[in-house]
Amino acid sequence: MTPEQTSVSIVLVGVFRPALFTLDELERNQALPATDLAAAKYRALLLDQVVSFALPWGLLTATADRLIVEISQVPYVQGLDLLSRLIRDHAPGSIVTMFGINMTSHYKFPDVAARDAFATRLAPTSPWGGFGRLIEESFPESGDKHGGLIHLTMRHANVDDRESGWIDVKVEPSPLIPNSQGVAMFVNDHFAPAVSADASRVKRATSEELLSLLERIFDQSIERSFKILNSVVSGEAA
Amino acid sequence: MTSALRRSQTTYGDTALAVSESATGFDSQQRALSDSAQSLGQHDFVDGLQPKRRLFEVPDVNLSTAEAVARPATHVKTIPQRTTSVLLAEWHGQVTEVLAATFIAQLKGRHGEAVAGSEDIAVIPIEEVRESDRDLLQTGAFFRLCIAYEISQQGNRRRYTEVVFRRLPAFRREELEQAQAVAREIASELRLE
Amino acid sequence: MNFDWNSLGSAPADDEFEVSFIGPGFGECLVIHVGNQRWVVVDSCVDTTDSDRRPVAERYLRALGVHLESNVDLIVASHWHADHVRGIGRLVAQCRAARFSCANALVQREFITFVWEMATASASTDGAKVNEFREAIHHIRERDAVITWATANKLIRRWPATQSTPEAVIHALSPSDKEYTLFLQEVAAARPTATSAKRSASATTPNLASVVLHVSLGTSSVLLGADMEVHHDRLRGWSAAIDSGCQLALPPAGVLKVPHHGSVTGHHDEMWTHLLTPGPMSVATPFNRQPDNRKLPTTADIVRLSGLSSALFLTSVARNAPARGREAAVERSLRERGIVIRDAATPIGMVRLRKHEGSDWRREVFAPALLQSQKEASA
Repeated sequence: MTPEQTSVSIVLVGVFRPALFTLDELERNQALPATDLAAAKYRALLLDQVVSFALPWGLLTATADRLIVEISQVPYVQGLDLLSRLIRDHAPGSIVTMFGINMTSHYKFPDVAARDAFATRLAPTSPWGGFGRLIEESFPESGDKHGGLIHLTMRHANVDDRESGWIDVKVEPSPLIPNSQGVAMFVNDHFAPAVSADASRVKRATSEELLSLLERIFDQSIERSFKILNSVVSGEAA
Repeated sequence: MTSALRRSQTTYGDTALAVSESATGFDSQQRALSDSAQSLGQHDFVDGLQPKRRLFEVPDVNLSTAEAVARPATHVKTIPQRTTSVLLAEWHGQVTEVLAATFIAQLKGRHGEAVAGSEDIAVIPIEEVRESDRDLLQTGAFFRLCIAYEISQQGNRRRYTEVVFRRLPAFRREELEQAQAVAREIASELRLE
Repeated sequence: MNFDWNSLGSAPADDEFEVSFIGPGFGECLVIHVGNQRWVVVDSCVDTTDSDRRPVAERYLRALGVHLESNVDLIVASHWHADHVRGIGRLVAQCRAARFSCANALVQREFITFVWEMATASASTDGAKVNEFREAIHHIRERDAVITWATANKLIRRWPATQSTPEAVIHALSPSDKEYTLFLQEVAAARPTATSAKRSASATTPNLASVVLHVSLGTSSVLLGADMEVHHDRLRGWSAAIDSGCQLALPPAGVLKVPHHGSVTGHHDEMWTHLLTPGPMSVATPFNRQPDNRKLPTTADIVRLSGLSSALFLTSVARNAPARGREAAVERSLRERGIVIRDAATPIGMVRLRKHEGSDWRREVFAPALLQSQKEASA
C-alpha cells in the first residue's frame, strides 16, 4: 500500500545556540542557498530560545537542546546536507549527543472496516476478553462511539549498527485522512553513544562520530523505515 | 481504532507520555517548540510572521529581526506552499561528464521497485537541473534523481521528477590536519622494497 | 544470467601455467598461476550480481579449491582507479601471505595523505573513491607486510625453477620516473582544502601512472597493459614503458591484456612491434559505464585489434540493457523528461589460458566472454 504522504525528520539532541540559526546569520555565512533563503519564512523567533523557519522543502527548528529539520519534499537527503553544513561549517561549536531519523507516513484504507481489520491484526480484541468484545461491538458505530486501538508502539532495541539506541514504530489514527479511514505510522530510528547522553560528558570527538554516523547511515535508515512501514501495513515479511 | 486520540492522551497523562516519549522522536519537534516558547502566546506573532515582543533585553545589533521589523509593510516574504511528496524512485548520482545539452552520470539506485540496489548509467538533459543548482553541475558532483508524487494541501496529486544537487559541508582544517597526522604515521611505518 | 562459478573445473596442475582474465564491463581482474599452486592477482573487481560484493579473484580461487590465505603470493594494483580496485581491500585481508605491489607514487606520504584527507568526505560521498585503497593499506600495515613498489625496469617477483616447473618472473615496465614526479604534483594540486565543499577523489591522469607488467612463465610471456595510454612525451606513457621493456631485453610476449579496454588512447605501434610477438593472442576487458556510443572497445577498436592479433577475446559484451522491472509511472516520468537510464551492470565473463611448458596455450571461454575474431593460421 502506497502512503498518501510521507515526511522525514532528523532530530539532533545536544547543545546549540539558537541565535546562530537565524536567517540573517545563515545568510551572512552563506549557509543556505540563495533560493532557500529568499523563500524562507519564520515560524518562531525568540533569540536564545527558539528559532524556527519554513523552507520550500521543509522546516528547521533550533532550540538550546535540539536542532530539527523536517523534510516534506524529496530528496530527504537535502535535510541531512543542511544539518551537516550547519553543524560542521556554520556552528561548529554545537555538540550532538544523540540523533534520531524519523519517518511519518499516512495511509488511507479503502474504508473504516479495512482500517479496523488492520488495527485488529496488530492488536486483536480477543485477548481482551469481555472488554474486547465490547470494543468489537462498537465497530459499526461511527465517530466517538467507535472504539478500538488508540495507539501502539513497538521497539526493536538490540540494533547492531549503533552503540545504543532503538527503532520504534508507532501506529495511531491519522488526523490527516478524513472519514476515519487513515492510519499514521511513525518510525523513530534513534542513535546514541554508549556513554550517558549528558552533554557535559560527551566529548567533541563523540559528537563528531555521531555526526559522521548520521551521514553514513541516513540513506540506509530511510530505506529501512520504508521497508518496515510497508511490511507492517501489508502484513508481509520485510 | 478510535478517533478520540487527544482525549485519551489527556486521560493517560504522564504515563502515556513516559511510555511513548522518545528524545528524538515524533513529537520531539512539537515539544521543542512548546517547551521553549511557552511564554509566547498566539497574539505575540504578527500574522504568524514576526514576534511583536521579546522576553530578553538584547543589543539591537544582535537582533536579526530588528531589520525585519523595520522593513516596509510591502516587504512580505511568500509563505511556502506546504506540500508533501510520496517517493516512487530515487537514485544517488555522480556526474562523470558534462556535455553541451546533457550530462552523463553514474547512478546507484536508492529506492523503488527494480531501482534500489541497481547500478546504472544515465544521460540527463541539463535543463532538468534547477537554475539555482547549475553552478554545482560539474564532473564529480553528487546529486539525487527523484521521481515522486507531490500532494498539495488540497489533496491534488502531481507526478514530478527532480534533479537536486547535493550541497555538502566543507572539509574542515581540524579533520584534514588529523588526517595528515595519521597519514604521516602510516607512511613512515610502511615497509617498502 | 549470473556467472556460474562452480562450472570452472579444477585448479591447474602444479606444472601448468594459467592466466585468467575476468571482466564484468566495469573493472577487470587477472589471476595468474605461476606453478606449484602459487598465485598472483592483478587488480580487482566484483560481480555486481553478488549481494556480498566479493572480489572475483576470491570467488574464482575458492571455486578452484585454492587457499587464499596461503597460496596467493602477490596482489598487484595497477592503479588506484575505482574500476581496478573494487574488493581489493577484502582480498588483501584474506590473502595473508601475499605481498602487495603498486606504483611507487601510491605509497609515498603525499599520496597517502591525499587518500586520508579525501576519506574525511567518505561518509557523504559513498567512499570518496579512496576507501578500497585505504582498506588495503590498513590491512597491510596491520600485519606489517612488505609492499613491493613498482616502477619502470623493476623486478617485482621471481619464482625460481623447480623440478617440475620453469622459472616465473614478473617485471614492471612503468610508471617512469617522470610520471612518478608528475603524478605526485597532480595529487598535491588535487588535495582538499579547508572550506572547500566535500567531494570524492578524482585524479587527472591516473592511467599514465599505471603499472604495466611483463610476466614470464617459462618460455612464454604475457604483457599486461593495465590502463596505460599514449603520451607525446617519450618519457611518459607507453613510450616510456616500451623503452623500459627494451632496456630489460625481455622476451616478446605472445599474450596481451589489451591496455585501456581496447581504447585507441592505449594504442602504441611500438608496443606491438617491440614488446609482442607478431599476432599475439589479445584479451580485452570492455568498459561499459558510458552511453551506448562511447563504450570500449568501439567497433573501430575491435577492427584494429583484430587486425593485429591472431585471436581477440572479449571478457564481456559491450552493451547495456535498458533497466527492466521499474514501475510504469517511473518509466513514464523518465521518458517525459528525456532521461535515459541503462543498467550499468554487464554480466561477468572469463577467458582462461593454460599451458604446460613447451606446449601451446589451451584456451577456454566462459560466457558471456567470447572469441571476437581469429585469424587462420598460415601454412
